[in-house]
Amino acid sequence: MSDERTEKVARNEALYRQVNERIEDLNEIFGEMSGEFFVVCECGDARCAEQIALSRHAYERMRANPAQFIVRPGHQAAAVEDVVITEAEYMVVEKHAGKPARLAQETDPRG
Amino acid sequence: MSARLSGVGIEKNAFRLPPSFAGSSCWKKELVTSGKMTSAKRKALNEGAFREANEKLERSPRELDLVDGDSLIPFLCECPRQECREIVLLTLREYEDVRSSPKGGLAAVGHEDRSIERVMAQNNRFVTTEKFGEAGDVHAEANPRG
Repeated sequence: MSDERTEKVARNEALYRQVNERIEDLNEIFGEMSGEFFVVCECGDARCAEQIALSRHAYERMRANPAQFIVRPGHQAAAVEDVVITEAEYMVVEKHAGKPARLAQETDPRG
Repeated sequence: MSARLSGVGIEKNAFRLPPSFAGSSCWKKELVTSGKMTSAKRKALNEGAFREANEKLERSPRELDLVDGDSLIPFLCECPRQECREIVLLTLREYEDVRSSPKGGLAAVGHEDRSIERVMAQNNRFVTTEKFGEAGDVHAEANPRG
């Protein structure tokens, strides 16, 4: 994958990560803090808005690592990330060291 | 834990804290503290929560250097259903058009609530709405753009 494409994918993923952080805010506002909730696929496709159900615990565990993102199975980009968790509903991917991980770190809303 | 999520701006647990809590907005506290609210007001406050989330999201493309007037940016449906987490795609220009009216809102197609809002425009991605009556007043009063 070209550097330009890598960067574009990384920024799109970061954008959807921010969407999911806002969704988590809404869950808090509306008092829906337990059980499963829905987030949006954080893959590099800017038009993908597929929903993923997962537990808050699983979301928080993934979000604690700024290099990790959540995607629907099959939406991972092998050129820039490795799959570290596979579930029926989703995969957690981790950015490769170097530019992909650095961009993920720089754009981390919790950073 | 910090009372504020980094880069988010919405105070965590603000709705559980005493009235003296300095950073919380009245309308947010009302969402969980009032059991005597009219349906129109509750719906308007729910939509206000989604609008505030979208106002934060609008900054994201600029922060991430993804600004392009024609790019579709993900926003949250602002319908009054608390459980809705539908994503709608708008350009920043379209989003600004919606926000130009303090009573304006956006929703996924079919998510508009005609008991409190009328549809002003529609395409295959989203509908633009305008609240009326009590909902319109509440929505305008809670407008984060003042």
